[in-house]
Parts: sequence; C-alpha cells; structure tokens
Amino acid sequence: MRRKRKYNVTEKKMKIIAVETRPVAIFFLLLVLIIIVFSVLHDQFLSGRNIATLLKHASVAAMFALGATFVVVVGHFDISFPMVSSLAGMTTSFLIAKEVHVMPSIFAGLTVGVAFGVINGVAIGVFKLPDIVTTIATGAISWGLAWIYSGGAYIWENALTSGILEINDAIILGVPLPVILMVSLFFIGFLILHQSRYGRGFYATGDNRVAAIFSGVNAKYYIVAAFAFCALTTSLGAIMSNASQGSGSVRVGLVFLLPAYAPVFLGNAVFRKTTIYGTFLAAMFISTMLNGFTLMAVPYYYSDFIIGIVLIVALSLSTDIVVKGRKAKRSVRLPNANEEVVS
Amino acid sequence: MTDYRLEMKGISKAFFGVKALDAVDFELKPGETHALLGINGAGKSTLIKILSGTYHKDAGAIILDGQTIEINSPQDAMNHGIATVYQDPEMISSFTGYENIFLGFETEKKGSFARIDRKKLHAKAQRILKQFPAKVDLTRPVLELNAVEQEIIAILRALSRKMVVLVLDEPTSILTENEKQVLFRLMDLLKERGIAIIYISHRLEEIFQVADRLTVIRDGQNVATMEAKEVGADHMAIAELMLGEKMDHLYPVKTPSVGEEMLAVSGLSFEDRFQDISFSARIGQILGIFGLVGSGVEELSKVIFGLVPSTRGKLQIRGRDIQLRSPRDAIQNGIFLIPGDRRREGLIDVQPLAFNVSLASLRRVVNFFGFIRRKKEKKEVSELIEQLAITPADVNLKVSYLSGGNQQKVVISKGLFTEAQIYIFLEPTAGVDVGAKASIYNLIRQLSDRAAVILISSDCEEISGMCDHVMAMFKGRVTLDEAVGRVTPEEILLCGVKGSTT
Amino acid sequence: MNKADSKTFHFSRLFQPQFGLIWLLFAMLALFSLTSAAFRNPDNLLEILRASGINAILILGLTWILAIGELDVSFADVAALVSMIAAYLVMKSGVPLGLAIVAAFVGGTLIGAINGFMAAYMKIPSLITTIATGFAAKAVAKILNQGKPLAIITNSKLVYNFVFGEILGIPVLFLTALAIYIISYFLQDHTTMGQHLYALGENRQATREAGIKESKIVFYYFILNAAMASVAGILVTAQLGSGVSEIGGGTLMIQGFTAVFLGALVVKAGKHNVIGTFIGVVILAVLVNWITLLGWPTFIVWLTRGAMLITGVTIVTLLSYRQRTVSLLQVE
Repeated sequence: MRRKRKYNVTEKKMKIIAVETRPVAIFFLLLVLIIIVFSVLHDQFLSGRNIATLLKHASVAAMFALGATFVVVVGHFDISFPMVSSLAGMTTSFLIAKEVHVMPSIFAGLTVGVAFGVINGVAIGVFKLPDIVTTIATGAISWGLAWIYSGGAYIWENALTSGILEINDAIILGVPLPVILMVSLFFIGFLILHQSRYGRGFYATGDNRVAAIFSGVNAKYYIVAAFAFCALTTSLGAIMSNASQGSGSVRVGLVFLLPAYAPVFLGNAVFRKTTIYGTFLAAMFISTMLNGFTLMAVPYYYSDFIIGIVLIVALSLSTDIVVKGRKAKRSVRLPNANEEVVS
Repeated sequence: MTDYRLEMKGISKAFFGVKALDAVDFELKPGETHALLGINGAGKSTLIKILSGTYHKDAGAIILDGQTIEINSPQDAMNHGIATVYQDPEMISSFTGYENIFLGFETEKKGSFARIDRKKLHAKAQRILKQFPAKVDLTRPVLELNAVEQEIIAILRALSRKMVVLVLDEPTSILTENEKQVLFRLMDLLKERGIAIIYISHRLEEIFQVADRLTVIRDGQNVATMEAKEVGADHMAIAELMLGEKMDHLYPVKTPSVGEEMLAVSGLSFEDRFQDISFSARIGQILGIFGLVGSGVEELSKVIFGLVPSTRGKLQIRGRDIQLRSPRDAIQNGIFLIPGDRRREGLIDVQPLAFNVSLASLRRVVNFFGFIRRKKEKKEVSELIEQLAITPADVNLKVSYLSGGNQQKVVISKGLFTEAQIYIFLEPTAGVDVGAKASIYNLIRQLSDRAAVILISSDCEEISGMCDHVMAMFKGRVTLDEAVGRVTPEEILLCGVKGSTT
Repeated sequence: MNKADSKTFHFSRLFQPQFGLIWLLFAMLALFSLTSAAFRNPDNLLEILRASGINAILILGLTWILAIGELDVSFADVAALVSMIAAYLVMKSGVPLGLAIVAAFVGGTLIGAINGFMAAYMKIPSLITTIATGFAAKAVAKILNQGKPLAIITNSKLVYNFVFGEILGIPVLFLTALAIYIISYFLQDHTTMGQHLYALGENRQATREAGIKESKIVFYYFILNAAMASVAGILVTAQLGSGVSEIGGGTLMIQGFTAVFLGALVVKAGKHNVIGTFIGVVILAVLVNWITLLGWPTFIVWLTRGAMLITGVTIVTLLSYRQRTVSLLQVE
C-alpha cells in the first residue's frame, strides 16, 4: 500500500513539473522567436546601439513594474502610482529649476512619492479601506498637487545644466546608467522578495493574510512597505523619464499604468506566481516587442494594442489570478474548520 | 410505511476514503420534532447536508411522502420542500425582513424587469407571520434584528415556499432563554400544520423540551432511535449512547509529571464571550478544556495567543506578568497556537512545506543579513517532518497536496519549529483520519514531556483520553475543573452541554 | 410607529441628513450664482447642464458595476473607441451615418461583453481586465486615424438638434439623461433587477444560495456599462463634430468614480445608486465650471476631486462595516 502511494506521488510530482515548466518554455521560445523575427525584419535590431536604446527605454517601464509587483504580491492593487510618480517627478524638476543640487532634488522627489505610498499603505493595510478606490483618491490628490509647481507646464529650467542629463546619459562599462539603476533595483527586489525572510512575509500576507497573522507575521507592516516601495520605484522611474526628456512633465507617470501591470501578470502567467524575475523577464519581453515595432516605424498605438491583447491572453491563462479571484468572491462565513470534511 | 414524511434508507458517504456515513437509516414522521444527536464527527452534519443538497450521497435512497426523490443541489432540496436553517443564516443584512423572505422570488412574473410591489410583498410576509406567535418587524433591515428574529425570518423564508421538512441546525446556540421559547412555540405551530422538523443540537435539556423522538448517530451509524418519553431525564444514558465504547488504544499511555508552571491565567475575561477563567499549565501535564460552539473556548485560545486583548484578567508566563499585543508577541514569549481552521488559519496552502514550517520562526533559518539559508532550512525542516512522519516528506511540495492529517502535522511542525514552551491545540484532530489521529496524539503526549500543553476540543473522548487535567466551559464559564481520573467522559460532555452533570 | 419603511417614499425624508448632498448642491448653486455673473449667465448654465447630461449617461452603468462590487476602468476608452469607429465608418468607409452609429455602438458593447465574460465566468479580477481592455480599446481608437481626431462631415440635422437643441430652454441632452435616469431609478428601486443587484453587491453567497444567477447578472451589467459608455461616446462625437481617440484628457475615469462615490452618500446611505450619481455628476460639473470661471488653476479641481473621493470612500467604507455581519472575533 505504501509503495503504491509513493509511486502516485512521484508521478504526480512529475506531472506538476511538466505542467509548470511548459509555460516557461513557451515563453522563452516566443522571446527567441520575436528576436529572430525582428532581427530579420530590421538589420539594426541586434546592433549595440539599439540594444542600449531598448534597455534604456525598458528601464523606466520596468521600474514601474517592479513597484507594482510588490503591491500585487501582498494581494492588492495600486492605481495611484501614475500620478504620485508624476508628483515626485515634478517636485524634482521644480527643485532643480530653483537651482537646488541634483541629488537633494531627486531625494526630495522620492520622499514625496514615498510619503504618498505610506499613506496608501496605512489607509489600506491598517484602516482596511478598499485598495482600488483609495488609490484612485490619493492619486487624484497627488495629481492635483503636481500641478501646483508650474500650473501644469513643463519645467525645463536648469534641466540641461543641473547634471541630471549627464546622469541619464552616463555610461558605465558600456552600460547606460539608467539600466544599471534598474537592474540594481530589481536585484534588490529579488533579494528582498526571494532570498530574504521579509519576502516570506510579503508572500504570506498576500496569499493568506489570516494564516500569516497566526504565524506571527505583521501583515500591516508588509502592506505599508509594499505600497511605499512601489511609490519609491515608480517615483524614481518618473524622475528618470523626465531626465531623459530634459524637462519635468506633469503627465510623465500616466502612461505607465498598464506598462506596470502587464509584466506582473504576464510573469504570473508564465511562472504560476508573481515573482521579481517573472516581472523582469516579461518586462524585457514586452519592451523588446515595443522596440522592434518602433524600429519598424510602427506607430505606438499598434504596439499598445498588442500589449493589451497580450495581457488579456495572459490573464485568461493565468490560473493563480483566477483562483484568487474566485476565493475573493466567496463571502467570509464564521470559521468552522469542520465544515468541509467532517461530520 | 408511507405514513412517514421522510425516509432516508441506507445512506452512505465517504470523504477521501474515510467513511462519514455507513448505511444510515432515518425516518421522520409528519408533524414530529425529531432530534438528531451525535458528537462532532459522528456524521449528523453530513446526513443533513445530503438532505439539503450540499453533498451527494454515495449510496442509499431518499423517500419523501412515499416518492423516491433525487437531491442533487440545494435548489432541488428547496423545490421538494426541504428547508434548512443554519445557525447563522446568510441574509442580505441591509434588506428588510420581507425582502429577505422573498429574495429571488419577488414576483410571480418571469424576467428581470418585473415590477416589485413592496406593499404587496410586505403584506404577503405579514400574512405568513401572522400565523405565528412571534412579533417581528418585517420592515426593518435585518441587521437591526436580534438573533431569534433573524432565525424566524429564515424560517419564514422557508415557509413562503412549499415546506414539508424543516431542518434546524443548532438553532439555539445564539439565543437567549426568552428567545428560545419563542422559537419553540413557533415550532409547535409548524408541527400542527404537519411540517416535520429535524432538530440538531447538542443541548440535551432543550432537546427534551421539544423533541418527540430522537436518533443518535455515532461513527457514521444510526445507533439508536427512540421516543423522547422513553429516555425521560436519563441524560447519562444518552451521553453513553453518543460516546459508545471508549477507544483506549487510540490514546497513548499517560505519563503525567509535575513540571514547571509555564502559563498561569487568572480572572481572564473577554467581553461577553468568557468570564473569569483561571488555570495554570505545566510542563509534563496536558490540560484539557472541553467546550462546544458558543462556550468561549475559541475566543479564549485567541486571547492567550495575543490575537485580541483580554477585557480583564492577567496572564503570567513563568511567573512574569505578560501583555500580549499580537501573535508575534506570543510566539516570542514561547506560546504557540495550532488553530482550529487549518486551511484558513493554519496554513498557506499555495506554498510549500518548508515555507509553512519556518514561517513563524524565520530567525532560525536566516543568516546575519536576513537572507534565508535554504540548505539549513531544508535540513532542519526535513528532520522535523521526518520526526513527525509527514508524508510525502518533500519540503518543496505545496501543502495543498497533503492529506488532512499530514497538513495538521505541518501546522504542528510550524509550532515545534518555534521551540515554544507552551502549546495550545484547538481541535487538533478535526477532519483527520484515525491513523493520523493516533500519530498526532503520540506527538502531543511526547511534547508534553518538555512543554506545557493545553488541548482545547469539542470531543470529550479526546479530552478524556489525552489529558491529565480536565476543564469544561459552558457559555463562557468554567463548569468543570478536575483531575481526569475523577470524571467520566460522559460527565465532561454534560458539563459542556448543560453546565453540570445532573 | 411610522408605517413607511426605508423603501417607500415620504416627503419628510428629504430633510434627513443623507440627502445633505442635494442641499449642498442647492447651496453651491445659490452661492455661485450670487457671487459670479459669469456663472449665472444662461449660456454657462446650459453648458453645465449639457456636460452633466453626457457625463451622466457615460457613468450610468458604472454606478451599478460598483454596486455589485466590481470595477470597470475602461468606460472612457470604450467611449473614445466608439467615437472613432463611428467617424471612421462615415468618413473612410462611406457608411451612412445611422448605420455607422449602430455599428460603433455594437462594437463598444462588445468590449463590455469581453469584460463581463472575464469577470463573471472566468473570475478574473475586473480591475485588471478592464485596465487591459481599456488600454487595448484606446490603442485601437488611435490606430483608426493615427491618433488624430477625425472630423465628420454630415448633413444630418437630427444629430445636431439632439446635441445642441433645447426644449423650453433646457438642453435636450440633459433632458434625455434625466429621462434615462428616471427609468433607471425605477428599475433600480422597483424591480427585481435592482433588488438582485443590491443583494449581489452585499452578499454574494446568500444571493447565490437564493438561486439567483450571479454570473449571468454580472455579465449583463458589464455589457450595460459598455453600452452606456458607447452612447456617451456617440454623443460626444456629435457634440465635437468629430471622432476623438481620447475623451476628457485621460481623467474621465477618476471623474466618474468620484461622482458615483459622492452619489453613494445620498439617498441610500452608502450604496451606489443612480439618483445619487446624477446629483454627483451635477455637483462636480458645477464645481469644475465655477473653478474654471474663477481662473483658479486646474490643480484645485484635482485636489477637490481627490478630497471628495477619499471622503466619500471613507464614509462608504465605514457605513459598510456597520452592515457586515459581525462574526466571532474576526481576525483582521
């Protein structure tokens, strides 16, 4: 009897492995396919310069996706970061225009962003306000504040002289600085979420908040931390984007709502759970596609459309989200352990 | 034999190979109140769920007024006139009474755009209500009503459609005395109309107030059906029937010793859930607390674990006064709770074993910088799950793939991993098969040699078989506090169901 | 005891605190009219009504989507897409105006079907679905004319009259919206449809147990939402005389949510409802108009919107806590 069981378990495990690696394999195949197709269609695609451009543009979107990853891992959604990050970006641009040094300006911008992140986290994690509408509200408030600096106009004073352009264009060991920043942040995110004890806390909070609390995990802290970290990375992304344009735009973060979530859910569909590496790879995948389209002078809206479709398909195939969605809809009855099986 | 309202013949049901019901026969006469008795896990809830369409029977037949029927869904059951009212009926809290009564059936006309005539609905509901002694304001939102009024609304809802059998599942656990009387009179009136009532409760006194006949289910079988009059006031006999033979071989040999006092609780109270609880837990001794739903034991476990602060009273760990503000506090002070709802509270079932086991004590598997040392984790968790004989013994396997018994062992492992010195077990063997039960019991006994163990359960056999010192709680108060040798399981049961052994 | 229960109408109820927003609106109107000649200019007021009319139609469905407990952030993009489809069909494919409008309408509603299918049957969280479909819809809207608006040349007087016409001095648009809302109010409060709507929104489990077909209903509400957004898109197109690929500068979604949440504070004490939404729309239109006339910077509008929204959300959340069945020591 024992033997039979072992056999069944091993077989089960093999099946599980096969099922779990299949999406990953398909994903990499598609990635390779896309690279091949684009390099055939455009001879500049694989050039060093293009790859550098690709990565540089990818960096900003990837930073947004990184923040979104943390929020999704703790089981929530954040719609405020497009606007909060814009506020952060404008803060930095404003200070630079006032001749404040680059570094303090960036720091100030980040602080403003994180402040809103903390507000989100507290409202949602401690006061249990519904995440989506709350972040819509905080987004609206931060968006309003973003307009104060210049009445909505672009802020470009001192942008060229402050040194921020140099930072954006700097190349270290052949790699653009923004890319290094992005990769570093992803690496830190990876260390936190996948290698450290805190990562366990984030996942536990998102997977089963009640059980996490019973295990001594302080769910509230993790939720605040997730929203704060999201605000941090997205604010940095906005600042970087402003830097690359040479001016502070009040709308800088707005276009990144979907580009932030798409890699998170695509990565989820591929790796069966929300992960830093999944988000990273998916972000690269999407950026590669976008880059290819840009090279071929396909207008941005076509590629936007494709990304939207990619996300919809990924969502439909993404069992984890489906399960979570189902669970979320079941109302919470009185805890009664025995209802399922016993008596 | 068609003068029975309902016959259930040869009903069998198994879950994952564990038999919950074994060829059970059950008959219900029209106009009678038939009580269904049995300890948790005996099978009575399963029987009722089959009748109400929540579960499918594996074998057997259901005959209603002489016609064999199939019940494949709750809708089927309702269409046949079998209505079930649970302890805490699910309703739309902000809707009025009459709206809840007619939810889904607001008009005779088909289609979503049918006009609702509220006055008419209200009048219809009033008409149904008028036949009963209760005065319920059907125009107020049900969240403003008290417990019995909500139950009455649930019953009225059943009455608004055809009803021939009414199942009441623990209807009185949240009612006051007066409210109970209202319910009982309502039941009398229903019976006069020929409606048959199945009444499930663990409160023996009440059962003898209302029941005409009673059936005792034990280990998935119908062990006795008798007239209430026959039994009279001999509650002990009923308790014995419910418990049957003691299965001594299931429980390990007791080896009590008097060790250090780890936890002392005095005068602990929480709102209206429990009052003035005092006890002490020592190493070497398993303290058992018997209590059913509503007795306050679950709340007690949560207070001791820091999930909620007590209203009064104090806690001492090794003689020091302690304030617990969170489970994190409790764990750091050496307390661990193995919770009652394994899937909701105990485990994160999308994550692997290693994740779950180490979650409450990550400090053990991290290095100086806070990074997880996977090799160490794997090694230590593997050792532990081997000790506990968890199968399959794969630290990377998602715990959702494990059986109930093994899952419970994982939760226990999580506690052991924290190296706690005070363990509280809440319903440790709920939904666990017999083999795993014995294994868990051994674990608990061995654990008590080096830690203080408190075992809270609604299974008085378990309490009697496992514990060295026994307490019982009823309606928030301690009703029994004795060394185990001085009480019988039946007495424990009675102290939990009515507050005394008389 | 007062015979009237919470569902029957009683004139005295208008003075209860939950109707405060209506009084706020009247107060605002009075104050602004007194202090600003520009405000009380009839043309200005007509503009307010006209804008309110279109916005109200746009977010009619949203009220009920939120009432059920779902989300839809794609409605603004659906409206834009419908606008572009109609313009494209007329100008680039030579389709007669009427047919183009119908086709565009169908197209927009189809997106609602996708949203509904994914939310109701595949149980994918509606937020992320609608972010994706909205994004895709906007992209298609831009594809149709390379991101540029597409002017419609048409001889149709009917449309012009509908959008800019007036009956007794009140814009037809506003009256139409009012009419639609009155019908919707009736459906919401006096038919089984509305009953089941609120039941679903409050307790899915109980509603399911009552035999009500949850999935079907959710599905249809998403379709309805997209349909209303489509109608609004067509009206905007008529108003502007051209198809546009973005309506409201990307902020329409937030405006919609604010109006609905404000509206939840009126009439139904925390529950989203159409009358409240209508009042919310008007309040916001009045507010924005006044602030614009004052020459104040736009950010004030945003701050006010955000502040109103967060207040609305907090109050609604607090009110709903009261209603949630209190269980034994619910752990977080």
